[in-house]
Amino acid sequence: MAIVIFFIAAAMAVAGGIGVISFRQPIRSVLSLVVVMIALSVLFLLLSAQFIFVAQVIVYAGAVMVLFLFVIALLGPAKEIAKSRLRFQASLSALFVLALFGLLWAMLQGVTYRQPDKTVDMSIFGTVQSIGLGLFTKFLYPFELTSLLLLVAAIGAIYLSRKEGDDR
Amino acid sequence: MLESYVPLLIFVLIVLGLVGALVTLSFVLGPSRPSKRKMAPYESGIIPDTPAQRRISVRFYLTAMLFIIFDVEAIFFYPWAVLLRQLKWFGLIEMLVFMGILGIALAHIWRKGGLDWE
Repeated sequence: MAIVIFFIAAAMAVAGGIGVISFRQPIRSVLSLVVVMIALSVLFLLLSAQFIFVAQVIVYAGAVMVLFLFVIALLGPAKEIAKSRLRFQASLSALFVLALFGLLWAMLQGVTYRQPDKTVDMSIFGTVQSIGLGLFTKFLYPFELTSLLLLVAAIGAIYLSRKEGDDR
Repeated sequence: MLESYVPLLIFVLIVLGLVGALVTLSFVLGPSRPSKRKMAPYESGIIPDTPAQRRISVRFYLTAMLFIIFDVEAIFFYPWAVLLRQLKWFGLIEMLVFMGILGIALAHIWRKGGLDWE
């Protein structure tokens, strides 16, 4: 059952990825990217990573994609559609893809899978409870620092979007 | 482990099936007799003289950025809410500190007029 779901989700992710690079209208590319994100979230769920599943759906498929759509809308229709196809980049990208797959193949040759630590309770591994316990006890300090990071982001967002000569 | 997600799968399938069925049915059963007047953007309205697509205000982008910031904040509430009883007061105070720092962010945004549209 899991393997069937894996292949459906993986096929969706690959199809979405092809859509991202082959649609000529950027809006369609972004919507294809949403499909990729949703398919990846299913893969995370298959790995029993519940929290990453939720984060993937809410933050990536939701918020980040909204940002992408807004960037496209900001650029305006004139710059939206590519005038000409890229020429020499196709052969160049084929070269890079070959190199990447060669690298992946070479790495997979030497992979040894670690046996899971016997002391770790595998029944709750990756669940929201175990992530939360780690986040709110052992990694308490980084968690609080995250809020500082978000504060910096908020200040930066306000600064970037102010008007020219507006020194509020 | 995987069996516990079967209701979610059924839910997704029902949603997709329902939406697909509604779209297909309205496409198949609905009469389609387009005429020039019907296909106008505003039927019996003013004929637009500029393209509908144009550059939108950067203010939308600010809204999107602020949305992401508080969306990331909200995602942390999920494991916290699950563990609230287990963490007791410690978890509550921890989250209050977290929210306090983001409260400063909200106050800053508010004061600088990030929430006003003008």
